[in-house]
Formats: sequence, C-alpha cells, structure tokens
Amino acid sequence: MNKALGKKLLAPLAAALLPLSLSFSTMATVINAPQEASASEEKRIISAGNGITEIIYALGAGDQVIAVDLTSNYPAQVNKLPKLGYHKQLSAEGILALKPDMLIGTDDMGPKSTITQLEMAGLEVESYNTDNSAENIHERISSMATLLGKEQEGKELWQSIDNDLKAAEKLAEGKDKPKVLFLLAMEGRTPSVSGSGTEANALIKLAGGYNPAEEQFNSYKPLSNESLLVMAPDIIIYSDRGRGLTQEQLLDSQPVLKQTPAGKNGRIMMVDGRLLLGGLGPRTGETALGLAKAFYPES
Amino acid sequence: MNRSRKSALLLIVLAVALPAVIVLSIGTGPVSISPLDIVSIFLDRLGITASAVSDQTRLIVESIRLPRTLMGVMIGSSLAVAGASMQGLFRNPLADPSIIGVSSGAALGAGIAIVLGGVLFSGVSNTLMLDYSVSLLAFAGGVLTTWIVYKMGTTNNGTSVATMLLAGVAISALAGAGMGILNYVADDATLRNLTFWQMGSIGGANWNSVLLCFTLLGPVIFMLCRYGQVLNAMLLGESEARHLGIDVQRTKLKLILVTAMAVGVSVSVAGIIGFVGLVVPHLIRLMVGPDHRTLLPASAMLGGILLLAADMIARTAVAPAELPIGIVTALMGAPFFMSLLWQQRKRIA
Repeated sequence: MNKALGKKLLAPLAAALLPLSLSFSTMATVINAPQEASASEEKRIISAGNGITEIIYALGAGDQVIAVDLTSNYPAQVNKLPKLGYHKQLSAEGILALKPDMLIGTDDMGPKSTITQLEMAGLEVESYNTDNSAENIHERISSMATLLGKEQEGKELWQSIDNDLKAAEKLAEGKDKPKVLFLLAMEGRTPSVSGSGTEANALIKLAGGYNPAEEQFNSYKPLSNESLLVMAPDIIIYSDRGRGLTQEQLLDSQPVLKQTPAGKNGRIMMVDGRLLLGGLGPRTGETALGLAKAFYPES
Repeated sequence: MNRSRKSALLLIVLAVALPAVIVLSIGTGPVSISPLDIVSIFLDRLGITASAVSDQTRLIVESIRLPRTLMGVMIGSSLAVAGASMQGLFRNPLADPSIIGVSSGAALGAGIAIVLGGVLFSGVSNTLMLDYSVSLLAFAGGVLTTWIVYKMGTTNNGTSVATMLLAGVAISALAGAGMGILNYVADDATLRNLTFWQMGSIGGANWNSVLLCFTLLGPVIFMLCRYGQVLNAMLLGESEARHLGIDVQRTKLKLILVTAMAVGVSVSVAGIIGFVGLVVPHLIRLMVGPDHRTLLPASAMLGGILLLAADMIARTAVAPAELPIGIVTALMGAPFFMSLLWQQRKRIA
C-alpha cells in the first residue's frame, strides 16, 4: 500500500473509530455509578415495565430501584435513573454491570436469551403477567407487596384503587352505557382507534362505558371515516400526545367528528394519552373514576 | 508498490488485525473486566492454572462475550464474502445478498413466525420448536425466495443475471408488501418485536448458535474464498469465461445456493444486518483493486473485523441499554463509504 493511499484511508478510519472511543468513556461512568450506593442493606432492584415501576413506587420501595426500562416514566424520579432501553430489548451485560439483586418485569420482558443469561448469572428474575383486568392489578399488587416485604402498603394501595373502582361502578349503576371511542392521534393521518386488548378499552369498561370498536378488532387500528360514523360514539376520548390541541382545533382538522353524536353534543374529551397507554397500575382507579364522572355527568 | 505486493500486505495486515479485534471484543462491554482476569479464565479452562475470578465475571466472558464475538466474526465474514461474490457474479457494484431476494424473503419468514407464530404453532407444545420457529422460517423464506428468483431467471439457455436482478427487485417488493400486511395485523408488542428483529442483534448468541454458525457458515466462507479465479474470469463476460473452460451455469447455481445459505443462516440467527455485504468488498477494491483472489479472503476478514467493531459500539454506546447492531453498521458504514467515494471519485470516474 503506498503512503498517499494510507493517508487517505486514515481520515475516514479515524471518523469511524471516534464513536468507539466515545462509547468507552460512557462505559466507564456506568460502571462507576452503582458502587457508590452499595452500602445499603436493601435489595437493588431493576424494574422493566412501566406498570411494574409504578407499583414499586406506590408501595414505597422506590428508593431500592436502581434502573428502569424505557417505558417507565412515572413517577418523575425515575427519569433520573439509568435507562435500560426498551423492555423487549434488554442487554444482559448492561444489566449485570449495574450489580442488581433482582429484576422485576412483565411477561413482555425480553429477549428470552437475555433473561436466560441473567438467570444463569444468579440474578433473581420475577415476571408478572398483565392482562388489563382489575383482578390482575389486585394480584400483581399483592404479590409484589409480598415480594418486597410491603404487605401493609399493598393492602392500602389496593383498597384505595378498589374504592375508586367501586365509586365508578356506582355512578354507572342502572344507566345506559354510553358508546365511547378512544382515538390516538397519528401525526397528519387518520387517528387510530383502540380495539380489544388495549389499556384504553379496559379503562373505558372500568369507567362504565362501552367501546363499540372492541368487537371489531384488537390493538390500535386506523378507522375509516365511514366506520366511525357507523359506530356513532356518544363520547370520544382524544389523545393528542401532549400537543395541547383544543376541541375546536380538532374538529376543524377532523371535520367528520362533527357528524358523530359526540361531536354534535360537544362530548369530546382531550386527554394526555400517556395516562391511558401505559398499562393498568396504581393510578387506574383514579383515572377510571375521572372518566366515569365525565361519562355520567348527571349523577 | 505493485498490486500483488499491496494485496499480500493487506492480507497480512487483516490476518493480524482480526485476532486483535477478537481479543479486544472479549475485553469490551459495560462490565469492566481486566485483561488479566480474561487470561486467567482461559488458562483455567485449559486446565493450566486455577483462577480466582468470580463466577459472574467468568459467566460474562464465557457465556456472553465469547459466543457473541465468535458469532459476530462468522456472520460478518459470511455477509461480506457473500456480498463480494454477488457483486462479482452479477458484475454489478450495487449487488449485495439482498439482490437475490434472500434478505427480504428471510425477513418475511421471520415476520410470519413473530406475528402469526402464536396462531400457526398453537398445536405445537414443544417449546424448543417455538423458540427456533423464527430462525427456521427466516431461513426457509430466504431460500425459497432465492429459488423463485433463480427459476425466473433461468431458461434452457442458462441463467440470465439481468432477469434475476429484476426478479430480485420484484420479489423484494412483494415480500415488502407481505411485511406491510404483518405490520398492519400485529399488535403493539409484536410490532416492536418485529421492528427490533429487523434491526439485527448478535446479543442473543449462545454456544448453540455459535456451533451452528461454525458448522454451516465456516465451510461456506472457505468455499466462497476459493472462487477467486473463476469470478475473475466471469468478470470478463460470460462467454469469455466459457471460452476459458469454466462451466458458467454450474458456477452460477453453486454461488447462488451458497450465498443464499450464508445469508439465510446469518439472518436467521442475527436478524438483518445491512451494509456489511455492500461496503466491505468496495473498501477492499478501493485499496487493492478488483482481483477476486485477494478480494474474497480480504472481504471475509474485514467483514468479521467490521462487525465486531460495530458490536462493541452496540453494546457500550448506550449502556446499560444496547443499540441494535444494524443501526450501528449503517451509521458507521455509510459515512465511511461516502468519504472514501469522495476521496476516490476522480479515480473511479
């Protein structure tokens, strides 16, 4: 290889190696961080799954959490913790580097190979199933409370959720269920509607509403304007992903909504969708009661 | 320096760099492990000395980093050497293994397993089968699309590479539409699985997958590396190659089969890792010219080196999380390739 060519190759090679050296420096900070806090006797917990993280904090064990996955963003303290990436794409070595005692997550956690590697490394891995029902929240809370030694807090937490859910049920008692659609804003496109198997659908039901999209499809699907009119929702919950759209702006941009009973009667609720998207958890009772009050304003 | 001495030098440099990068890769990760500990773990394994390294450190080296590194080398090598062979066979600098439809077919196969797996295999109680369904269907999809593309390009007069190129584009579009349908019917969770799979990862490597890679990809890499002379002749044109005594039709069939195998296996264990097959052969060509006798083995070695470098970034850049390796290869490969093109544009034109 001649010298000139060697020089020509050197510059791009250096450009390619730069991110490598940068990554070494971030690596060093990650390794140093956990050692400072290792004095406490309590277990060092990694939480993967936002519903799980919320329950740990609601049970008062938040100070034991040393890292969370990307979906965990409530309560606000968790944003200061190291993030493990998406909970389906966990890295075994990344987790071990934080020297945890326990990984708590959901059945969605993965990939499987990572979980196997972590178990082989002697890490205690607990995973919970999540199926969007009130019984499931109850089970999850009480079993996590036992795991974390917070039985009393667990009972109190479920009691308050249960009170809210019962209050919501009472509001709906003996009345016709309103047809409620949850619309998730998609930038510049038809919004997606929540079908069966979604958190939004579970919440609508807990709040005493009926989601006509439930029987049509599962997960989120974009809905044609015609189907929207046929479903004739009495109430529309619209999530604009925190853009702060007003009802008027929405009706201007999606004129078809004006033709639905919800649009005609001005019953369009603008919400921050993250409340309805994150999986059911400690805040579910509160949210369901809030929705029920809006569904049945006269009671 | 003349070309043959330059080629010999490059091969030597790569042959030294590859083991060096392998060692570096074993020593790199979010958990810091000293080189001394790594050496003592290996000495212990070989029964020479007893090591005092903690079990967890040993596990990280033996069950996470070593398989990952070995698998990365095999996959990087086979993708690069398959890319070099396809560029030679099709006499097209833009050819990479996806041109014969193998990547898109594999993606569709994996997509079907990921999205519809629960329904398709509901009767299968064997969990091992379920675990491997993604890999198996990815491999089957890759081989099937390659076979269709090959059949479409082949008549009694032999295989037309031009028709194959077009058929490859068409079948990729068809597979893309299939992926679109899968995206549409998938729920949120499987959609994320699908997306991540398409971005590739070698983080799931274990000794089984390493064994699979060595037994299937090892012979393939070795075999492709011996096609230098033949591909040089093919570069002159098919009829010229025939006059030189090469059985052109057999060569085509063999190369296509072997490439489909190489890429099919790679994709099925690691997902889609782009750019290695396209960029690596070009880098070698820009350094030492188009002689396939150097190009093929040099691509194989540089492919392994590049993929390991990308994986080291993937596992440390956002630690404790991990970047999908497909993103890293594209982020690293594309600008590097562009800057080389920029510097060499006068020579190429």
